[in-house]
Amino acid sequence: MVKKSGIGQRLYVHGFDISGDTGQINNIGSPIGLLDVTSIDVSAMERIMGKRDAEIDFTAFFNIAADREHLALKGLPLTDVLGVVLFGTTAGDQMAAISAKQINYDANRAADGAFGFGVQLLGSAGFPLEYGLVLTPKITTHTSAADVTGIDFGASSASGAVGFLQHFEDTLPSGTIEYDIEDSSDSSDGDDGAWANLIAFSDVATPWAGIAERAIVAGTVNRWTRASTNGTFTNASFSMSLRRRVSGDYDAA
Amino acid sequence: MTQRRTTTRRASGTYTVQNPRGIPKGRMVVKVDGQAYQAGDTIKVSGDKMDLDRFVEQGFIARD
Repeated sequence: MVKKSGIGQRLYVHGFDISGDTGQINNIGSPIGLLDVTSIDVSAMERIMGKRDAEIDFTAFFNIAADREHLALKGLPLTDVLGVVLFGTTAGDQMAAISAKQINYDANRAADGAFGFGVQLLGSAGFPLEYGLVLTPKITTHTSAADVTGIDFGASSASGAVGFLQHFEDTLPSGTIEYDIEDSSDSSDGDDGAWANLIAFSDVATPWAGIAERAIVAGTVNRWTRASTNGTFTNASFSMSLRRRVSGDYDAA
Repeated sequence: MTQRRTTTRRASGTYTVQNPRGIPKGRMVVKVDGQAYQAGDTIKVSGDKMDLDRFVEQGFIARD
């Protein structure tokens, strides 16, 4: 495996692609608290694991164009947002996801005239930062129901999975989009074979608005997985990723 | 060169789509030959088609 740089990454925040307005990702972290359980009969610290956390911290350039960072970030919603960082834009590349509160949108006007915003996403839904694999290359657009070529995980797993959807705002679409992640035990190339619906995200009946969703499934996940759109619609622009839960994960089902 | 296994094998018959994963009503549960089926739909397979034995074993479909 070759070593990789951070060039060509993507940052999506709850249905907005703000990659083009992000100059720096300062931290993608999953800190774990330590509890001091040192007893009087030992001569060094004893610690056990405490709560996990999640954080993504980045710096954005000011951009007031439609669908860009200012529209995406200025609202500071009270509800959770789903942020994902794609470490590459090819299906099968690694990614990180966070279900978080966006706790700030802090402007900084430097003496040299630079103008940017610091943004911090802090885990807020009871689970830590999650690492998975990208199922879709970059932002994928379907003009009708279609399947993305699946990726081969090499073997099935038995502890469930977590799916991540980013549906991007568009001024043209209509209809209702059914976003699914499918799996197959007998595909040979990611396209052939029989496929089953693994994760059915909520129907997107207002496809002109960006949304995001995290969904989980328990049980067996077959060897091949792929992103799929179903239903009747025009123009679905989206990104999907998947984390297989494995034995030993905090949430293995 | 090693030839990869293909999925073209026996499977003639009629099957009813089940819903072991609790996919919401009205949503696709399985795809066979690129055709989407919902829970309760009937899949008719004739001649040399996919091997659906594993689909049956996993409870996605039941042979009628």
